[in-house]
Amino acid sequence: MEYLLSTNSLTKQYGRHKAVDSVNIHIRRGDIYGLIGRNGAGKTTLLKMVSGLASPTDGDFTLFGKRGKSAYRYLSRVGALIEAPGIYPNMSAADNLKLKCLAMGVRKKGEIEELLDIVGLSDTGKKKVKNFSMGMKQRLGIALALVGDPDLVILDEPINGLDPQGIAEVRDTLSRLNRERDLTMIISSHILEELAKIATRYGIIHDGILLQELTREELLERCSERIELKTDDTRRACTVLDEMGISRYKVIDADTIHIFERLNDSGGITMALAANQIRTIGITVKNEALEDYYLNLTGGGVNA
Amino acid sequence: MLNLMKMDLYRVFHSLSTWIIILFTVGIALFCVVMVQGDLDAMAEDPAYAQEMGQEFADSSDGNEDRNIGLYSESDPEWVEGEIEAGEFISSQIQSGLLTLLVVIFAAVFASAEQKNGYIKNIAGQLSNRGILALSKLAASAVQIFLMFLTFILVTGAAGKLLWGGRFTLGSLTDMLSFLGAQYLLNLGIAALILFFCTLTKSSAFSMTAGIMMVMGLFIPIYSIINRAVYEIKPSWDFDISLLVPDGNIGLAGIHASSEILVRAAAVGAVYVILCSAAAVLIMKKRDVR
Repeated sequence: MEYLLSTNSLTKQYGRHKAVDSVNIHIRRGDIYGLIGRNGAGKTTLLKMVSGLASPTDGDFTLFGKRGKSAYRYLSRVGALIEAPGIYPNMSAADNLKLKCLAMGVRKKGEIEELLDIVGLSDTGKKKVKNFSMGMKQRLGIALALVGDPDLVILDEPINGLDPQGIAEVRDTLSRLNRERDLTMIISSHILEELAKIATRYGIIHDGILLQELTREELLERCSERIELKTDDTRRACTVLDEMGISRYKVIDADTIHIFERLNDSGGITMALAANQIRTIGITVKNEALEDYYLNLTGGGVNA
Repeated sequence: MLNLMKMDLYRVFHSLSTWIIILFTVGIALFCVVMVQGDLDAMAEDPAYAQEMGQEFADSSDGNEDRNIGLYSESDPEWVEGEIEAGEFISSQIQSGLLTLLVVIFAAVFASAEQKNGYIKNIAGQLSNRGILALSKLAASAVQIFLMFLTFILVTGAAGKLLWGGRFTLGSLTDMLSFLGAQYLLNLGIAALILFFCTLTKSSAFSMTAGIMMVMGLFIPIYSIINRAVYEIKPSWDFDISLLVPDGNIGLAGIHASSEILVRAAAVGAVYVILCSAAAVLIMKKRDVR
C-alpha cells in the first residue's frame, strides 16, 4: 500500500538520549492520525522531523512516494502547527495570514477571508492577536497551517490549554476539514479521550519508541466492554464458562478472567460458579478507557 | 526568496517598531540640528573653544581622528558666520554613530522577532532552503536602513534650512553621495553582524547590547589588545584592527575623507555583509527550528 507519509526508522538523538528511536509510522490519504504519548514521549520531535523543522539523526521519511532528500521538496505541501502557535502578537489575524501567504507565494483572492471563516475568526477585524483568547490563537495557528491548501496538516497538541467549548470547536473544525477537503492530518495529544473522538488511526509512542499502530476499529475492539471476573480458581471457572457455552473469554492472571459476551448475564455466571463450589471474589462489567489501554501498554501513569 | 522578501517587507511596513525607529530618526535629526546650533552659539562666545573644535572637525572629516569611547560629533567653527554645507553637516552627525545606534536596535528587534514569537515554525519547514530566511531579513533591513538614512537627510536638511536659511547650502553632491554610499554599506554591515548574532544566540538582548557597545566604542580596549598582540608577533606590520571593523570605519569615513578611506570603508561594509549573512544562512540551514 502506498502511504501519503511513512517514516523509515526515523531517529533523533540529543547527546546520548534518543528522543525518537527508529520510529515507523504510516499515514494514508484521508487519515486523521492520532499520535498518542505522554509529555516527553517524543511526539513533538517526531512531528518536527516530518514537517521539516528538525533533521533526523538517522532514518528518513517517504512523502508522496518520494523518499529521503527528494521528499523534502514536497514539504511545501505540508502545513504544520507545532507546539504553541507562532504568531505576531501586535498584528491582526488577517495580517498574520497575509505574511504566510506572501512567504508561500499564495495569490488566490479571498484566501485569507476563507481561512478566517473556516476557523471561525472572520469577525476579528483589526483586533490584535495579543488580545485573542487562547482558543482563538490556537484556531489562528490552525489557519496558518492551512495556508496554501496543503495535502497534509500536522497539528501538535492543537487542543492544549483550551476550555471544553474550545476543544469541541477545534474538533468540529478539524472533522469538517477532513470530511470536506479530504485533508490528511496528524494530530498529537496526550488528552487521549479527545483524540479518540476524531482520529481514524492511532500511533502510540512512549519514550521515543512507537509501541503500536492501530486503526480506530482495532482500538475499539481492544477497549470493548467486558465482564471482569475475579475468582480463586480460574482453571475450574473456565470449565464452567465452557459448559455455559461462553467461548469469548480471556484469562488475564491467576485470579482474573475477562468475558466478552453475555454482558448482561453476570448473575447467571455467578450462580453457575456457585453451583460448582467456585468462589466469586468479584464480578463487574468494565469498559476499558483508551487511557487505561494506553497505561497498560506503556506500563505507567499517564502524565496528562 | 522573492516571496520571503515580500513577506519581510510587509512586516517592515506593518510593524510598530519600524515606525517608532523612524520617529526616533526624526527626533535624532532634529536633536542634532539643535545641538549644533548650541555649539555654534558657544563657539561664537568663546574663540578658544572654536579653535579646539576647528581642529577636531578637520580631523574627523578627513578621517584622521583617534577614536574615543562615547558618541561625539564636531561642528566647524566656520559655520558660526559662514555657509553650512549640508554634506559636511550630515557627515559629522552620521560619523558620530547616533544613526547607527538606531540601526543596531532595529536590526536586533527585526531579526529576532520571528524566532522569539515562533512564527518561523509556520514557514521554515515548507522552504526547500530555510537559510534564505536570513537573506530576506537582510534585504528588508537594507530597505529600512535606506529609509532611515533618507529620513535623517531630509529632516536635517529641512531643519537646517529653517534654522539657518540661506547659509545652509547643498555643497558637492558627488562628495555627499560617495560618503553616504560608504556609510550605508558600513551600517548595513553592522546590521548583518547583528543578524548573525541574533541567529547564533537567538537573543535580541545580547545582540542589541553587543551592537550598542560596539557603536559606543566600548570595544576599543579589545581592539588595542589585539593590535598590541599583533605588534608583539610582527612589529614591522602596521596593523590596526579598527580599520577592519565597521564601527571603526564609521567615524573615519567622513565627507572629506580620502578616496582610499572611503573605498576601504565601503569594502569593510560589503565584506561584513557577505560574511555575516553567509554565516547566518549556514546556521539557519543547519540548525533545527525550535
